[in-house]
Amino acid sequence: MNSIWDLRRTALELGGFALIALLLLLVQSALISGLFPWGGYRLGLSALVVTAVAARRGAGSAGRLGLLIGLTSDLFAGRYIGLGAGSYALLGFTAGTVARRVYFDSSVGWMIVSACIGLAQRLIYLLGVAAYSAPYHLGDVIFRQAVPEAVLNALLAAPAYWLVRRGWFGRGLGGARVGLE
Amino acid sequence: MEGRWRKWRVPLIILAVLVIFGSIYVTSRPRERRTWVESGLSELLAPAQTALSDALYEGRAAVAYVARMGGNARENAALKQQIASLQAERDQLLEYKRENETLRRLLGLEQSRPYRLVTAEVIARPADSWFDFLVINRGSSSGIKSGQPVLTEAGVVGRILSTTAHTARVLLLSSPRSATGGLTRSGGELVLVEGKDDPQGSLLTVEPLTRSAHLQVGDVVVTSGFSDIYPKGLPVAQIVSVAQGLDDSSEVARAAPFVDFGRLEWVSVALTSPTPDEAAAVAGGGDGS
Repeated sequence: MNSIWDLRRTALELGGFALIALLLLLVQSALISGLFPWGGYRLGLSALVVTAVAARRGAGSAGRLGLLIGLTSDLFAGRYIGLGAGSYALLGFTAGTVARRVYFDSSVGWMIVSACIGLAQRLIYLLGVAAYSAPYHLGDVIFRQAVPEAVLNALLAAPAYWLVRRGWFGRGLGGARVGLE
Repeated sequence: MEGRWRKWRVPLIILAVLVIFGSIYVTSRPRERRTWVESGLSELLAPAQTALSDALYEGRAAVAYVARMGGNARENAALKQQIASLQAERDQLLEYKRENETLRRLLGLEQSRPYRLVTAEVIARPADSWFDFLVINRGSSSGIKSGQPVLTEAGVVGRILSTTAHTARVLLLSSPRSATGGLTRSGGELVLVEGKDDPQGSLLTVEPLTRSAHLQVGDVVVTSGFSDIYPKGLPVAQIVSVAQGLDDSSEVARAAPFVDFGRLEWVSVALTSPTPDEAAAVAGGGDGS
């Protein structure tokens, strides 16, 4: 009986995550890309959302959400299908595991964790692209793209922290802190 | 139940990893044909993306209008002056055109192929491939086909990579997968313009096709017209630095593109073959004019 309920709960969760992934892709591709072309660096919401869900709901949920976000993004881009899905899933899972051990009690902690997660995702993605075809230099990939973007995205972490504290991104809004239940 | 899944966990993870690597490998090359899932996703999102882009465009226009209100009279006077000067320039160019056509006719040279421009709005950019691709709100139903050149008034943007009925994917010049034949305007050197080496898309790499070629800082690179994609003479980039190539006998230059790939809102697609309506008109006995 329990397993049927678990299955149903997972299916509902996946449906919700699919909607979130589509909405995120829409906002990211049509709105954020037009609003924030700062020096060519993109503001990415995906890593932040995955981190937030990892914090509220744990590694499994964050991994599944990361997989869906990465997959929709890959399908939309039409290239390297699986690279975004794999990297976001891996990082969602890692963020959820980290969340069990780190006490996220300040926006500074959030900034650091989400910056690291974002940086790691971009590095994995860009290095994957470079490994398969694109002739980028490693230094360019790290210092001219991944690091500035991670710093830029870390600025979003403070408002995201506030939203998480208010109870967004997961069950029991405002209840026990991430992974510490 | 739990135990049964646990037994299959490791093989399933290995299978998933293999599928992911296989999928990345298969899709790592540009493809003209997209799967129904990819096309469906693009078609599904296109209306909402168009609406969001329109809203963003209108919002920006409103902000710009308010910001410029004070300087309208000054701008008006400057524009009038500019129109007068452009009018004179246009008359002169028309004269050159007439002269050029006469000379080409006399020499028996083929006339350059005419093309029609279709304006399209940039509705989306993939988050992980910012300087590789963009998506426009016109597709095969507007006569757009893969391989057609995409331009702005500043210069070449790229070429159509694939289409759905109402969207098209544009491969940007700044993409590491892009390589375009060019000519330097002053020296007429044949070069290859590539998007490699700069993940930020702000500079292009220019490599001469002959060893004796000499590139100069400030020189403008235009399309060579030797390929079937780009018409001849469209501005591409301006050389900002020149260095020795790896083998020391050739030069490699970095060039700033005339198009700002980070801020594209509208582009034009040059239709180098008839649109479906035009083709139908011709097939149906219409005059096609």
